[in-house]
Amino acid sequence: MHDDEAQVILKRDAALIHTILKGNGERYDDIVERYQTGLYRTAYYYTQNVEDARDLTQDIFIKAYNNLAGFKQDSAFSTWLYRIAINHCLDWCRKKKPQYVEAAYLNNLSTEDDSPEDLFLQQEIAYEVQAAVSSLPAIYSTVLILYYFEDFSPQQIADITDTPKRTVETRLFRGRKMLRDKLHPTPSGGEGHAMLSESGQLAQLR
Amino acid sequence: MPCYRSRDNWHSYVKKSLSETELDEMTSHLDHCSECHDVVSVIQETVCSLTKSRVDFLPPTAIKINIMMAIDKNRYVENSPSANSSQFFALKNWGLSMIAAGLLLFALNLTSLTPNFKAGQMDELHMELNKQITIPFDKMSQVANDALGKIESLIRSKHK
Repeated sequence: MHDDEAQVILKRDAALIHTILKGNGERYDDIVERYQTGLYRTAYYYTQNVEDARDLTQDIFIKAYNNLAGFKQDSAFSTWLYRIAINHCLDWCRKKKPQYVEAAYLNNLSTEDDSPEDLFLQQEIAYEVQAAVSSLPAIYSTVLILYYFEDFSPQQIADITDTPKRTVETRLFRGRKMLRDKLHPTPSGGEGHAMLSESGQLAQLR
Repeated sequence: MPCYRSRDNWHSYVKKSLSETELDEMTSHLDHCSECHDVVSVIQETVCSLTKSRVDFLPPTAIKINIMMAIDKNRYVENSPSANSSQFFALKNWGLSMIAAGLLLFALNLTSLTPNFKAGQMDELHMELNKQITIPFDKMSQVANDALGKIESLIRSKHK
């Protein structure tokens, strides 16, 4: 994300929050609209099912609204919101282990040029990756989700997770290696594993 | 020969979230260090492949509706200046005054300060003191209650 774009978002968020704190609670739906896709996706990476992801997303937004007066405008709102989200998701993981894993054959935003086969392949890969990421220890899956899927920088991840930036960089290196090991083809093979072979897209995770 | 350069910033470098000086310095280092160049290439390739495999869900529309129904939209209305002035007159603020008045009455009733009085004289004195003390407080309380009632009715009419 360019610095100019980030500045515009920062100012727009600050103005919205100022309006809400002045008593215009209806404007909170703009905040929800802006961040619900990212938060829902993040929650899904932790929960692996849509019902829990939906419930978690709702809880996160409600919690954020109720604590909005405590938001210090010296940091980005997205960082503050994701801090609440990650803590909430980690709490959820500690209290309630997923009973089942649900494939994410939902609304994959692919281009209209994609053939059905390409679409299917993309969904298969996405499912493999999401399952592999969520099976990692939380400290690694968190940094991978925030860096690769939510486009946060290591410094922003450090702010969100309240961890030194150096630790975040180390966890990114280790997390990527662990993810590569999870996705690496096994000798027993099988169709699903063939997609993760050296010629496949995920072979880039070497 | 292994590069002893710190690997702490390569993920930041890929996201270009460093100062211009740091970015320039790391870019020039990459030109002559194949080891660091490989590290950056792997990170960049991982970014590309994972971004492609990212599932972009469309969140259910019910999420926004449920959130907007669940939140108290007037939660921050009381933070406005007009609402703050009405807080000053909240009844809880008067509670402390009443406790202070009670403590004052209790202190005035302490018998240990007058050890030479006989029991009967003490009772009479208590009654007289109580009468003298409660009369002004009763009046003050009545006046305060009247004033509070008027203020609250004024506030209600303003809100309407």
